[in-house]
Amino acid sequence: MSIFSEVPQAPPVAVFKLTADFREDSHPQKVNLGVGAYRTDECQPWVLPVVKKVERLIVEDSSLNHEYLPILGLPEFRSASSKVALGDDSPAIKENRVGAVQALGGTGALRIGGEFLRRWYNGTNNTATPIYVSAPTWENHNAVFADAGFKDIRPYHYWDGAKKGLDISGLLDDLEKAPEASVFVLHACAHNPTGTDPTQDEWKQIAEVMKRRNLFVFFDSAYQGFASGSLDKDAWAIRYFVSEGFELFVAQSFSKNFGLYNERVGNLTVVAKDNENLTRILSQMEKIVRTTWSNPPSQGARIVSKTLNCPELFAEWYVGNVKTMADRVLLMRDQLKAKLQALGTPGTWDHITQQIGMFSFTGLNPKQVEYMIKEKHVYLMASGRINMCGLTSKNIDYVAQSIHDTVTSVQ
Amino acid sequence: NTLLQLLYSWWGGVQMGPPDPILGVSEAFKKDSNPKKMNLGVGAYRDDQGKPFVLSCVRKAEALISAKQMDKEYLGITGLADFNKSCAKLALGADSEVLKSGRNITVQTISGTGSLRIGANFLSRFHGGPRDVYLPKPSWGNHTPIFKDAGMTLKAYRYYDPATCGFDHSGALEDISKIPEQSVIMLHACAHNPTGVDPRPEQWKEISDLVKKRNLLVFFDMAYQGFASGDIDKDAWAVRYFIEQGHNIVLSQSFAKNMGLYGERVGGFTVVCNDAEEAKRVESQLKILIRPIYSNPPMNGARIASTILNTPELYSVWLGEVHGMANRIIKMREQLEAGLKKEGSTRDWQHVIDQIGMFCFTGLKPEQVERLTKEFSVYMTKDGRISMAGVTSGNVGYLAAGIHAVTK
Repeated sequence: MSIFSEVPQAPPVAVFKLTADFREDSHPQKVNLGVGAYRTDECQPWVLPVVKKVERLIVEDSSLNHEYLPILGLPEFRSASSKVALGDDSPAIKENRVGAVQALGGTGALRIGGEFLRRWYNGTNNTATPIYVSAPTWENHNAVFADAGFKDIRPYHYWDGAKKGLDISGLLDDLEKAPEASVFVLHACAHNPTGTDPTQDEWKQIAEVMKRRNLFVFFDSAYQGFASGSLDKDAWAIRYFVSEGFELFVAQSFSKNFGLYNERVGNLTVVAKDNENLTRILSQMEKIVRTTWSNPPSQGARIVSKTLNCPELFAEWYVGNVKTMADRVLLMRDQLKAKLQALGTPGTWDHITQQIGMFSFTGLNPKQVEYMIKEKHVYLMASGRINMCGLTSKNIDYVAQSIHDTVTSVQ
Repeated sequence: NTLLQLLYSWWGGVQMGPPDPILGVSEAFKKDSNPKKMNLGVGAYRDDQGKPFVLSCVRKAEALISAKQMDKEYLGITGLADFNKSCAKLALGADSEVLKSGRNITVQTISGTGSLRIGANFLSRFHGGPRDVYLPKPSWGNHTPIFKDAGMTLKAYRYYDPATCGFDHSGALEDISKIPEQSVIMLHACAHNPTGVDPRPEQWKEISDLVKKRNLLVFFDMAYQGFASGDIDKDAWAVRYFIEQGHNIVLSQSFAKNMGLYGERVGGFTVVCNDAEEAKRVESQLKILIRPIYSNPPMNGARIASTILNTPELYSVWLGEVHGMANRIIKMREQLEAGLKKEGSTRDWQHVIDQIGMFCFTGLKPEQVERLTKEFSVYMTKDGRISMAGVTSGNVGYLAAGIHAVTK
């Protein structure tokens, strides 16, 4: 009798199952608009040229070894990453009240932050603190906070399906009604999966309510630079909240903007009231990290650190490579909208160019999505989310036509 | 309200966390300006010049990988398949019936810590037995908080005998015989951390029989395969024996020490199941567990390890280098014991030679450790553990003198 005989088969993670199904499909015109990774116009993964350069430098540097990093990670990486989020001239950094934990991707940063909040926020070990995530949100947010021990994870209004935009009044209403001290997970830019971000005015309104109602700000920043092509623009919301005096967390990912997906490069930036609080916070972060992974992997952090801390490499990354990716996505957005309008596809398609970042919430319903996959061999998430990076000059006509056929055949 | 918020922080109630005892030793060492200082704290291998050692098979593997110019796409949640396969093969043996029948699931993890944590989380969620995990007394300091954070409770069985600085065989058996059925028992596969004391094969056999009788779930921690005796298969003997005896074990492996890949975080977690179907179910649940921690593991280290394990020339270079590291440690043990005799110590230091692996439980008391640190700048953990890897032919005499001074 096995002790594991009762272990049930768990359902596959949807986004990875989609790619698996895509791989098995033999249709010559199949298109994968599922998983969120950048693709070139040849639909190939892209290792950033600056990353290739820096990796070579690392391999050739015989003074480097594979020793353990400190528990909180590579110091030069942590400080440079926080600077990217908060700005070179950030007053909070000057005031020595910004710290960071190098983490395994954005996921790892969220998890460490979540574990910390569950132990030390709003009392000690208060698993009842409500955690609010947007409706919809990245599908892993729920599990991260649930596994961190929180019992009450709730949606806040975000996507308005009717107007295909942000439900700002619903969002503000949820902020007004949330219990004091509730945690809100905010997408800093390029909201996943909708691609719909608050305007600066809307961010100001959100901040005002959150301050008044004593709500905690946890930013998820996975696309800085990738969204608009500008690091500053994409970090505007984070910096605004910091300037308004909030103590907050930012879970940063360098998976997309550095194309370092599989090296798991992330950073949890902590903005505290003062250095004394920060010191105690970081000491407890160490304890959490020590029982999760002891210390983080060094390769990816070295690459990012070298790049961010060297002006020429920084420029090559930012002005060169990041801009290339952001521009291609913007081009695909323009072209997809134009083609749908030219085809006379029913509905409005402005949201495609109004939305930002890797993803677009097309507005296709589950039946339409199923049709797209089964009949057109165009793979997208059941939510109607498409990865713009999966579009190329070679497949965009087919995709536009497929959307047109789907919308006119299936209600 | 706003004024209060300006003054008030969310974090007023956050206590200052205590410094990590093991990693804290390195930090104190760094601050010391004594030219004769020795860092015998953290278990990272050093060569005879006291320098970190990057294995040549690792450098060769890195060059091969660099030339291939591979992409950086996400790995699956369970990691690099080639790595997982060879990781399991290394532990279980190429001719293992478990591998042939596909009744194991092996996933890539964030080195040994990550593997233990995944395992602890998995047991916490799915183990129907008692929530108690029985650790040897003493065990690696991080075992306790890992299992605690995963929601398990910790108990202990006697292991180290301070009277002999050896294995408390009868004490261990007596305690194990009282462990409630279906509880989890942690065993160090080889090179026990922190004591360096391993059971002999005939003692392992008795432990296996008793554990079987008590129907306990065995959790093996193998962080030093190859590093203990210098022989990969010899160091995995206990793990393989238990499996042969019918224990469906769970196993954590680390490549931090035996491949010197410390900061790349390379490890594996294995569950030996009844059959391939069960292994599939277990795999699906491990994925659900891993995804909300870090989504998928880092590529670099696993790629290096996999290249070494799967390229015959590199594999044999590796075996030689592991053997070399283990040999240097053994030599340092011999020199330390000889040095203590030479200093005129009348104490029995046989255990320095009998113990195995990176660590030596000297038998020093906390006050003696404190003196050794304060007066000789020899840094080690309070329990009297020294990392032999920090000992060189250049400083072993100094160490012997220091130990003698505080123990005479």
